[in-house]
Amino acid sequence: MPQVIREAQSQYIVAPNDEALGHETIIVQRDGQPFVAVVPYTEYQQLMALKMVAPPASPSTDPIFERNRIAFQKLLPDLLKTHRGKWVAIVNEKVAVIGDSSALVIEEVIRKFGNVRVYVQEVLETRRVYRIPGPRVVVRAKSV
Amino acid sequence: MKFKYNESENPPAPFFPVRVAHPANRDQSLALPAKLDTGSDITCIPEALIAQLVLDKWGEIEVMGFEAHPISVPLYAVHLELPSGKRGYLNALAFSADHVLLGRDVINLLHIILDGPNLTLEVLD
Repeated sequence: MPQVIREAQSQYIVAPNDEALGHETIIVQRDGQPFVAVVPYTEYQQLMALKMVAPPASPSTDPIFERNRIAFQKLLPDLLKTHRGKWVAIVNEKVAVIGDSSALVIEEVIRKFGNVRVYVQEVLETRRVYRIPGPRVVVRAKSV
Repeated sequence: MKFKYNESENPPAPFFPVRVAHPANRDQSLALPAKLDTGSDITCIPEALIAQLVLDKWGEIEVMGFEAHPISVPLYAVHLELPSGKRGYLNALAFSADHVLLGRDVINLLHIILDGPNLTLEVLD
């Protein structure tokens, strides 16, 4: 939540030694309306990291995927008893393939079903959180 | 096989070419530069590939970059082929870039020598 709100004036300058800089989000207003936010650099990095990954698709845009996902959630309590830590593929709302890794499950799904709509997930109580890098600086565009 | 680092990155970064294909139809494929990143748990593909290879969502995972809160993102199955001919399926997530980011899910399968001072890398298999 922003902690400081200031009305921009023509002579307004964000001074580098402003105590709020780097610690708080500063919302600058113009005519009483927010139009610029100054955020600490670490917060900016977090926002850029979030922008790096594609946003999740809306469930309603992919009903087959959503049905398979819901089926997995329903099957999860039983799967945890029998296949904890394994990867499973749900096809037509049923467990179709179980394997030790996602790569093995993908390979088996392709072999058995070809290009089929599927939901692949690891059998865990709480989903693992994967770490990915944040934004990187590219000095200039150049083909490799 | 030896490859030069990509010197357009600052500092220069280890890249080598890969071929990414649709998992069920390998005729639909694209050759792309791939950057090695041992800091990434999972491989990322350019977001544009989803449309170019007509990739379907295969799952979803929670990801976190830097200190950001975890967010749920779609997972896409792809077939990956390395210059040596080594190949396999993997789950990848999409990100905003024009190159592949090879995470430890792939890197840990390979013997790689990074020669930083000479800005070269060698993939031994």
